Amino acid sequence: MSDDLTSRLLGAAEELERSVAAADPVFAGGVRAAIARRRAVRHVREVASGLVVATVIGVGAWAATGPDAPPSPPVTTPSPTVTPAPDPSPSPTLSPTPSSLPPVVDAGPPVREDDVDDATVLARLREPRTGEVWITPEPAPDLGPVLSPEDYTDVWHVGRRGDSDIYAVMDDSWVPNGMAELFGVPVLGLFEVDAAGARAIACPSARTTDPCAARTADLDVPQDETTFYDTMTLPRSIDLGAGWTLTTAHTTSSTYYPDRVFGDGGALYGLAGDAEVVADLGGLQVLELVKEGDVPGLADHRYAIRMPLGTTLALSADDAPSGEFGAIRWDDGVPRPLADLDDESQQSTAPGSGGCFGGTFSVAERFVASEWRAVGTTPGGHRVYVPVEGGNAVSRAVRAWQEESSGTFDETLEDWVTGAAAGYRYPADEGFLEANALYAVEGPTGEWQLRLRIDALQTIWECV
Amino acid sequence: MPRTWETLLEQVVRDRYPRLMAHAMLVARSRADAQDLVQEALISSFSGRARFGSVQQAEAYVRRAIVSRAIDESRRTAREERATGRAGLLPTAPPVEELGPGADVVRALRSLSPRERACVVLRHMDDLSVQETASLLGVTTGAVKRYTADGVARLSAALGGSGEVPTAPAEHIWVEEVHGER
Repeated sequence: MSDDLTSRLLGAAEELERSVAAADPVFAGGVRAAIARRRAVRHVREVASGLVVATVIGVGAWAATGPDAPPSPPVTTPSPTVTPAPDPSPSPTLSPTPSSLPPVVDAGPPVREDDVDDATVLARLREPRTGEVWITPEPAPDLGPVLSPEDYTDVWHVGRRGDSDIYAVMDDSWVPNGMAELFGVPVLGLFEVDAAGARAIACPSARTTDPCAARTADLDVPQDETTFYDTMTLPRSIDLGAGWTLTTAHTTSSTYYPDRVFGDGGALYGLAGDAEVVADLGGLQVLELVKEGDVPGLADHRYAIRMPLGTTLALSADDAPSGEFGAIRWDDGVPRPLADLDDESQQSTAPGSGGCFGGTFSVAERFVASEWRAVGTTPGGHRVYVPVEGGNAVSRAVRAWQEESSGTFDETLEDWVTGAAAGYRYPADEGFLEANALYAVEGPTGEWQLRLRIDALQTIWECV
Repeated sequence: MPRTWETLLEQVVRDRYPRLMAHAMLVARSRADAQDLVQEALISSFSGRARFGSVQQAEAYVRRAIVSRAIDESRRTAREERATGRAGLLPTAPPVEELGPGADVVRALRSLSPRERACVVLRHMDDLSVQETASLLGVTTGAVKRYTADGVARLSAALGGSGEVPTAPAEHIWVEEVHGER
């Protein structure tokens, strides 16, 4: 571009700037209120996980009738039989299942309720009243013209309920260029299709107080806010054993959750990381997702729920136990407040990766117990360990990586700066160790979960 | 006592709002869209995990958020317009004639596709590198070079030539490009 054109662009920007009045107080107040709401319920991030696709299932008979047919009322449920989704690849195991399953599941027509206690949710996950039968997901291109007219969406046949077939529509536009491994495969909608037409299932949970889905495909398909599934109702907490309890409250209260109610479809596209089933709840499984970290020798872990339609709902880091750095009781009585926490809820993260796509905690390939010392206790009663005096190989590697990978824009230099120049909060191992920035807690299966206090994370300019 | 982000937000809105609006008007489809873009960019920037050490840093961040949101918005609008067009529900809205300060440049920029516009603004006004622009827009570096070159050529023709704005590229072409590169 010529200097002249650049000058004209800049000149136009200046002219425009002079023509704009200052922001009025209403605008500023509205922005501030919206930010406050979002910050109060911030969600972190999610990744997809594992599942293999196989069986061939027929496509619903309605396809030829077109999208203009009126919606049918919710179908009264037949006797329920749930087909569990397939096991993840690689190996599964161990299943510390929830500790208190009630022996009796109530009878009668299924209705949505304001609240449902966890014992009932767990019982219904095993014996749903609502009649859905989930199948191994199968591409359903015949339904494409009806449910997926855009070239960036795919239809999958995922289940049946009474006379209806259940389909999920996914946005696969990030799959070809590999971006889906980072950003996932959004599920745009879940649809029931029967002889009368298609309905978009808006509120899949049995709780009226759970968020409904925000996403729908760009279709003239009626919204069905009545049909729900017991097998898509999340318990509030899940006991993993050994005093470890996962929750789902942070995940479901996130402002992003309505976009992720149906989970992420990456697993259906072979974008499976390693996953282990850590609790089998019947219709849902709790997974521990694992991927290679950026710091050599550290793997990234996070918890997720595998939904019955084969998708994965990553849980907020705040829903995993022992992440509350600010609530750790230190043996030496010295407070170690987090810097710039504001009203952020996330207080720790996986030390082996960066802030945009990292996990909840890391596990070291080689954990040498003698290189760690106990220094505190979490609110849940778990002992907290930090590197021995002078540090250890893991602490040095983590601090170095977080600093080296930092990057931001320096307004003085008017240029990008990286590494130490980006202003990483802990420029030396000494301060990093003194702040107990890296700590370890023994997990439910004896693994050592490594965490990083959130203000020791790399300096991030932006997650794109 | 206000929290840090609130203090900084207040300063950014008070001191930089006109400049952010000007930036948004260069990449938005209309002045009304520009205000929405600024609002959304402020909300997303201050809701996120990025930490700002100064008003300048926050402003630079918000400017980038404005451009990336303009791309998202244009994609959503294109989809809606295509859906509407398919259903034959509404006629296409006539273009609004831009008048006032910087009108010729704004008109010329709006003749570019959203990605061309974003690349030109980011590369030649915000001085981002090809790699940085690619990262921000979620496209390849090759695509950034192509969009920028095409955009500059069309802009030069519009501003340097007869004053006539070249025909805008068909929106469906842009959408197809996005399919593989978003």
